[in-house]
Amino acid sequence: MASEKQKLTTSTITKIVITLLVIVLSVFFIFGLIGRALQTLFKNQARRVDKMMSKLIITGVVNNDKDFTRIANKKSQIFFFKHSFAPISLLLIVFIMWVTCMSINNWSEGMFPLFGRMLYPWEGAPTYVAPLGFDFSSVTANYVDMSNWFSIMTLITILLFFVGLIWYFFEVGGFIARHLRIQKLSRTMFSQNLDNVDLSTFLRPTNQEVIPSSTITQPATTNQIQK
Amino acid sequence: MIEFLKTFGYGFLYFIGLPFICIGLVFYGIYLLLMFIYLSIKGIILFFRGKKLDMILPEDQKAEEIFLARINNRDNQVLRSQAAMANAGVTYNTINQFNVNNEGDLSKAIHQANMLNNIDDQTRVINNNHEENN
Repeated sequence: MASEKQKLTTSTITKIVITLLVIVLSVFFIFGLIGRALQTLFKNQARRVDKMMSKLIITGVVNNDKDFTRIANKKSQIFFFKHSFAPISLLLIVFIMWVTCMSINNWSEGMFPLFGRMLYPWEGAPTYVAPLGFDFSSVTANYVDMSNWFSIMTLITILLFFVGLIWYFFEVGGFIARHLRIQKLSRTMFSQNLDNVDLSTFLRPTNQEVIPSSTITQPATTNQIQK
Repeated sequence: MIEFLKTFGYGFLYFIGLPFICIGLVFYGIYLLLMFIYLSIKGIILFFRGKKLDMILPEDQKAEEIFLARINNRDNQVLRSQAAMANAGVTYNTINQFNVNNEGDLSKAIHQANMLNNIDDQTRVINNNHEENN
């Protein structure tokens, strides 16, 4: 009996470890995919700096890093202001909706706990039974009455709140990406680093500029060698 | 396989750094919210002064003027070079070669000469026509 229990434990432990490893790897992989997608989105946001500043650079209006940083940051701030107007207005509307609904309901029940009950409509947590079991006898139903006006308004308000919040933080991320791009461009474009510059090209003139094509000597022919 | 490992590695880093990223985003979000409020007030003041809070700064207007001046200068140079080529003898030669009787044919002839990309070819065509006619 004891050896059977031991066998069971060893093999079950192996299965548990493999299952947990697969879950952890999947979680990391999903995080990586989401992160890479966000990286691409923010790279595109950062490229907007190039669009904003290209004409000023080409025409020579901006020719030093200080002016570049000042003008680019100003434009980036105004860009953020114009693009975050919508999510901030949405969050403001959500706030007004929340205050209105709570005051009509006499501040008796919070919207966030009610939304939590909508996501997990049970009371109590299941108890763990070794090795891989759960006991649901202590869990009781705690459903939300969706025919109630307050429940419907809670659902709408909380969903709009999350939409507005995610949208706003996306714009915040875009501003950070543009800020980093501005710093990188001002460092690289106006740097006086001669590491990657071949100065000899400036010092040595090319054959085309100095020696006319008619005077370029032809390679020695057989007759000339014989002479 | 390498891409999978790269994605997995990035995921691990993002998972570890997620709390710090969230804290940074929250602080930046509060700072940018204050900046939004400041720009809103600035926008309202500028509105009552008859101006606008715009991304087009005085430097952009200056750059636009320089850009347009360069384009006009380039266009004038092209027109001058085309006129110079037309006056270099193409008129006489093309009249003889293409039996030009009116302006429409002349402009067609100039256009045909200009279709050749290389200036040397154009010069050769013009010189050949001049020799044939002489």
